[in-house]
Amino acid sequence: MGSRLRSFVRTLFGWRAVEREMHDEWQFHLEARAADLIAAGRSPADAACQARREFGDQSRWSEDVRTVRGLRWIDDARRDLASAARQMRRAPWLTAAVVGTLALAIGASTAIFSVADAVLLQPLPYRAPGDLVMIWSDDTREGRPEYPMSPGNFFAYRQRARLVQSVEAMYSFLNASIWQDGGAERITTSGVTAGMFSLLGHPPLRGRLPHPGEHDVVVLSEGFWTRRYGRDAQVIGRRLVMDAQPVEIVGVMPAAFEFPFQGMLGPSGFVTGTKADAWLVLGETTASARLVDARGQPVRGQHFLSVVARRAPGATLAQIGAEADAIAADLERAYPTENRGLAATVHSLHDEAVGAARGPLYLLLASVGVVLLIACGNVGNLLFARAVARQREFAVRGALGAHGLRLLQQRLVESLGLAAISGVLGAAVSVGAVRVLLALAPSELPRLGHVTLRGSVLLFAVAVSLACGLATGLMPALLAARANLHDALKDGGRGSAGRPRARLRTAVVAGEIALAVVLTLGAGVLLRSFVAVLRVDPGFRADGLLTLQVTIPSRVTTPAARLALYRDLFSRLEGVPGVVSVGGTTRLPLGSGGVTTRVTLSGQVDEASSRAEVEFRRALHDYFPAMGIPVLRGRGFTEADGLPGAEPVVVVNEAMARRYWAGNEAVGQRVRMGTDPSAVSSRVVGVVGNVHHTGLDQPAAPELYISYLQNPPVAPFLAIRTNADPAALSGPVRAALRAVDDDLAVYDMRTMGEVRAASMAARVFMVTLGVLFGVVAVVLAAVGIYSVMSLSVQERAQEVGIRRALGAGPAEIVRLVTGQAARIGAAGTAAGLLLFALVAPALRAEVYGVQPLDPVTLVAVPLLLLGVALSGSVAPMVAALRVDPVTTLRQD
Amino acid sequence: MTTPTDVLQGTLDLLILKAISLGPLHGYGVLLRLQQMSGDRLQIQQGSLYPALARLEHQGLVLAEWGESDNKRRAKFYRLSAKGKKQLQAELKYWDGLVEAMALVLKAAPGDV
Repeated sequence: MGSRLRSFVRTLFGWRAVEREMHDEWQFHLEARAADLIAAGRSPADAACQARREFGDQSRWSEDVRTVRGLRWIDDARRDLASAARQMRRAPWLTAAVVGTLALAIGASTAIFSVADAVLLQPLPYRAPGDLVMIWSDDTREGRPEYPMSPGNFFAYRQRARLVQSVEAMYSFLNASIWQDGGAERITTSGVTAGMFSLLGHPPLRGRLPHPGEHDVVVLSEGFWTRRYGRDAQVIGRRLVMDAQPVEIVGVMPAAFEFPFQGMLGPSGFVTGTKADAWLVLGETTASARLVDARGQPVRGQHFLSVVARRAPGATLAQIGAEADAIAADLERAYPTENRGLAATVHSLHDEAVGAARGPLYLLLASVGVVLLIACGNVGNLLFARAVARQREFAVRGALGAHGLRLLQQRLVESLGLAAISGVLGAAVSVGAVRVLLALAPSELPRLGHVTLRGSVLLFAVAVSLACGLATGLMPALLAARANLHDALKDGGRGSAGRPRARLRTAVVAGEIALAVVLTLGAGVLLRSFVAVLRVDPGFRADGLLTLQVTIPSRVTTPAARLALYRDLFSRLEGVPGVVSVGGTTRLPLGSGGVTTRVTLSGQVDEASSRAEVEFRRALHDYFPAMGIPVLRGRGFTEADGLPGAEPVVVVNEAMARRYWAGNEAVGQRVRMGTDPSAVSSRVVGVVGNVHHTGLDQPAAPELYISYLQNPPVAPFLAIRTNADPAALSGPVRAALRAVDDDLAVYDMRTMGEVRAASMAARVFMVTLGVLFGVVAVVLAAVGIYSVMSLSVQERAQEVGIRRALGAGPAEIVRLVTGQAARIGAAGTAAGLLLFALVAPALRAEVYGVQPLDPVTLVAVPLLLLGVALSGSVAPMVAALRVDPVTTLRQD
Repeated sequence: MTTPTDVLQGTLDLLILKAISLGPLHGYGVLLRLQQMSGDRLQIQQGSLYPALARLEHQGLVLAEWGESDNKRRAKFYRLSAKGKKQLQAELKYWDGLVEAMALVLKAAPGDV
């Protein structure tokens, strides 16, 4: 065995040397024999001749030796490659068509795969990331399976859970202000417990990780360290003030360490699509961190922690879930007020981080795979057409004794050679395609920074190219192998396909049309739902609006001083020419995440354990008129609400009025915010229209507004309505704001149209690619039907000629050709419709406002494809009409 | 002088193994030794030695290395491996058995049956 392997390997890698040695050896033999013959009295010339004769046919011996070594195929392959290269040069246009089609399809698939690979398949930047899980409260009464945990419950899990180790927690993203060197800056932070970093296990870039039990320390991200401190290593150990709390910088995490991902924040993530600038370590026993109250007791009434843990060796997610449920049941018995209806949810951290991207990316991968299949079908048909033309060559070789497998190999070498060239070009195409994808990709798609042509991606490209080569080569090869030798030779080499093979060829094209139908239907549904989203009334008037965010200077600390600043700000903005009205809010619709507040409502039973939670914003100045949000009942806020001793009032949206006071008038009801039962309640003075806050395709949630006059914010969004072009307003608005206060920070200035467009980026991404793939599929299917019909007309020229000679008019010929095209098109379309009905459920999560089996699309797309099938047969039909009966009949 | 006999199908490998069991040989040497040992009674197509040698080498029965011939030329020499020696013994035994059985059958007289 060993010797065989050695000899095999030796021949495989050193076949040139082996070949040379063989001929050296024979040369020695021939010369020795000739010398002996000369010694026996022959003349030198005669002796050499005789020696060669006695030796026998050298080419036969060398083939035998190669066969013995099990490597004849390498030799054959070399010959086949040379022959394939000749074939390619002989038909440059065909070669270009094949290579071009395959290269584009391979490039597109590779590009999509490289995104899917980076987002879904690459391990997260933590130690043994597959063992990390997230534990949530499951609020069964409000239907929120991923409800953040209260600190009290978090401590209980950490103490009691046996199937997980190192249970740690984080706050969702927070905006924090840091003051240092005289300047203030808003940064995005995430609060974490001290053990979080060792749980995640990613080494720091500089400095160290927080020790267990440590608090009031901060770890910077590499991005923030670079941006703010110019990568100065001296910042380690420096102290700074973060939201009025002194903290010490202990380390810097490298850019590769991404935490938390947006998906890990649960439903009340504060900021969308943002990375943490810094991680603040929470003191678990200090009241300032809000985990324990002033008496050191765990906080049980507020739910704001996302909990991460590492599973114990051997524990499954289901077991951990069961244990968490058992602990939740105990906690519900022990604290019935705070924990009523709270079960537990356990998911893998990977699912939380990137799970939301899985559906869309798999959908894109499947779509591009279908495009690839159609391309392969076309190329297979093209190669098959050529195989038919060369049928006689193969038949003759078969008759001369060439082995069937040997002929199969020759065809495979040819198609694999074409696929290899296409693969290399495809890899180049994918480099460009990835750039386009990244430019198109929505920012909420996680891990986009990881997209590169790494090894796994190249492996994918190689595998896809190989599969294409095999698929496109096997089809003609198998058909040719089955070819009837006798018929082929008798046929006079005209190269007709014969019935069964013509049937397979049309089946391939019908299959292409079926796949194109599936893709186009999918794209059509995506497009229709995109239009449906565009038509959604956001609940405000998006045109003529300029938005921006401001942070008021840190020296303005008292509410009275802030109000004075806002009064000045609004009067100056109202003075800008073209401005109609000005308002502001703490959460801009479609432009920022939500924030919720717990409320207790009058007229509600079970007040103590209620976890009614509604979206919460402040309205500044003329917010409702500026945004164009209608006041449906009651009133909006007025200046009078800001008078000393004024009654606390709130305005609710219609969704909230319906949800909590269905049937009763909301105006006049009372609402208490927060969890403190002794807090003052506010009166509902008005009901405003619903606003789609988190996305146009998301239902409007119950919302509660309070007036900025009753507790002014520090970093609100402003909305400025104009009757002119809002973009042109940016200069004058900046000038007006500078006039208010030089230290007023102004950022993120966008028109509401831009804000709305950005909120639809994910949908635009899907629709663009879906429609692109759909169009490519249709074009490829049209090319497919064209090539098959042309071939068919060529083959049937004689039949057409006879029909013409027998008096058939052009109309009959047209019927003959288009009839065939229509049959193929109809069969393909029918198959495509059935196929789409099977895969449509997978689309459900991606569509809005239409059903996956949308009637309009279901009618339009088949008609389109039938049209394509017929248009693909126009040129062949013209060719058929030009057939001259006399010429064709004379041919034999 | 007797007429040369064609080598029986399948026996060439055995002949080569026997020839080089007497000492390392190059390909031409194998031919000469076989002719000498058979008294020139075996007709061997000379080139056919090489696929047979390649097969034996591939099977690990013979080992090959380049060396110098009597007339100071580079030549590839073959010698028996341990596995080849075992194989030769087994084949010789088989051959003896075959010859014995063939002889019994072919020499049988009418009265023997």
